[in-house]
Amino acid sequence: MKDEMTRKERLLAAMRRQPQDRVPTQLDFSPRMLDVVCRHYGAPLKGEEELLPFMDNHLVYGFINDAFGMQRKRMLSGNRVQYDNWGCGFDITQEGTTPVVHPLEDESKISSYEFPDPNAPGLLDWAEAAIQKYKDDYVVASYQVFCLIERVSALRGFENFLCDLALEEDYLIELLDKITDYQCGMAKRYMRAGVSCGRVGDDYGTQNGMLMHPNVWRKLIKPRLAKIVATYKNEGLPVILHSCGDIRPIIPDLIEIGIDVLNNVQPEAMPREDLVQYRGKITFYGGISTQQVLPKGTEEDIYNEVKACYDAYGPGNGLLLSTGISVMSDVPLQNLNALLRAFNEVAGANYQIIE
Amino acid sequence: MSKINFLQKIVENGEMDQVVAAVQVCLTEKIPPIDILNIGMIEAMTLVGQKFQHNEIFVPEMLLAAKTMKKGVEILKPYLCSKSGLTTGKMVMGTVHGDLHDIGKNLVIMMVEATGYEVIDLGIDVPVQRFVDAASDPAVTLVGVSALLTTTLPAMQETVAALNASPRREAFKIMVGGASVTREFAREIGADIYTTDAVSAGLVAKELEADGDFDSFQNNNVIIKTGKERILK
Repeated sequence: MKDEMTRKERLLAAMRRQPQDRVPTQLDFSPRMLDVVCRHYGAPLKGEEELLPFMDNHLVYGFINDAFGMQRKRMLSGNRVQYDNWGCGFDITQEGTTPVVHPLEDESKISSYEFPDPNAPGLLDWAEAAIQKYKDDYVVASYQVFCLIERVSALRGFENFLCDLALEEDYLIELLDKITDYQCGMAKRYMRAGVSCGRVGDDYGTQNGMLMHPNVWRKLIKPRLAKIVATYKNEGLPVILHSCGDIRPIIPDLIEIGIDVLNNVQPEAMPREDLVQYRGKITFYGGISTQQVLPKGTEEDIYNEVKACYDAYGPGNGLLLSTGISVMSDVPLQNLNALLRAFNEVAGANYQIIE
Repeated sequence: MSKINFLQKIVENGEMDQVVAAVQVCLTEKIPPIDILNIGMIEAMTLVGQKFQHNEIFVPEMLLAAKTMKKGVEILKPYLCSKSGLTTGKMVMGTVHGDLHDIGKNLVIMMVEATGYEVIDLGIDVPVQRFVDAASDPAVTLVGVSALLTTTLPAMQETVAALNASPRREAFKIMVGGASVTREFAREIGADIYTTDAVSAGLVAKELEADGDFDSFQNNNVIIKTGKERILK
């Protein structure tokens, strides 16, 4: 059956919970898995853009020229630790990007810390190139990872950050305010470059609940996140929020501040039967088990998982069918193929499958 | 409020800047050091654990309370003789090789320490052999193995298998945990104890020391603590 909508039209409709010809799909891979999948398709080991011809994805990220962008584009210098424009060092040898060098570990350094400039030359070169190349066919989104709390955590170290949070230290408030300003500046710059969607990310959840008390989140994080979201919304752009873990207590707050899309919807942390109450109010991006079914399941398990996710959240309610977190390197290629087959069968997608 | 109850509140509320003075006041009042530890701090942390499990407090507050206790214990240590109960057991704990995540591990260490254990922190990205070597210490009764990612679960399996082959195997229990670890996985790889969060880990460690011959644990093979209740609003 021929598609009636372009990928971009389809995903934007799903983000606004408007009718679509079929449910849009997206597969994201961890950096390590990107190499495995690129090899499998005979594509250069240069990240997700190389996989676009084989995937029926709808979203392309405009990466910043930083440690994350380099990691995603597989531009590896050979160093275990890569630094970003904040002076934070990230270990890139794992599946993801783990902060290991924290420039403000010593709180006395906070007052003299020089914040990076969101308008620094060159910062968005890669994003601008991606926007020019893909803006007509795909939704190109910004990529504001380590947005608020994870940024503080990368600057201060996780334990220091948690203690700062418990004590509501004055310097924490100051840091959060300055980071918010940076992220708003970044959002504006991304929009000038021509993105059609904002994407912010912070992990507010753990496997068993919120990292912090929902009221602490409401007091310290919500107003600042709302400010960043409003920067996009004022220009009419939809916003994706990524958070790992169980954040059910704050989903109504996220809807209230205008988040359009919730990623990554891990079923092990947030059961579907509970989340369906938000169907039609927020678009779900993710939802397929990556902790259990995808790495360990049979082909039948994977099909059933995709079908269950599809039936629970879509079609028509706002679903970007995808995995609970990016597909990591513990997923055998056989299971990846089973996932692609299920996407094609259940959602009418067109992923190329190489046996 | 008695001096010891005051100390208890200080620990419970995570008032790090006041704990040293509060312990010193208790010592000046000639309160036995073991009571200062058990009533003033360990009991306080038990309350903190309960509040965490009931979603009254979250990780930041729990961490702060644990750090406060740790600071208090440092002051108290010289006054506690070795047999006075500071150390009820000895645990070694680490995050498996290939995994750099440490917050879960650190929280478990703090909560287990808060029950009176001595805990040796092996750190993150720990090779299998380091776990095995550390577990050969005749005082070790508990080995904690942590992993966050699904991709590092094979390393957890490998580590537990090596620990299971240890000549001291009967003398220690293996506790596993981490976001992607499940009860089934823990059983499958031959671990003894699986806990869902740091508070549960502390509670099990405490029960383990109370039950000297570990019988109840051996019968069950895997101990499950369901952890904090999920909250919706």
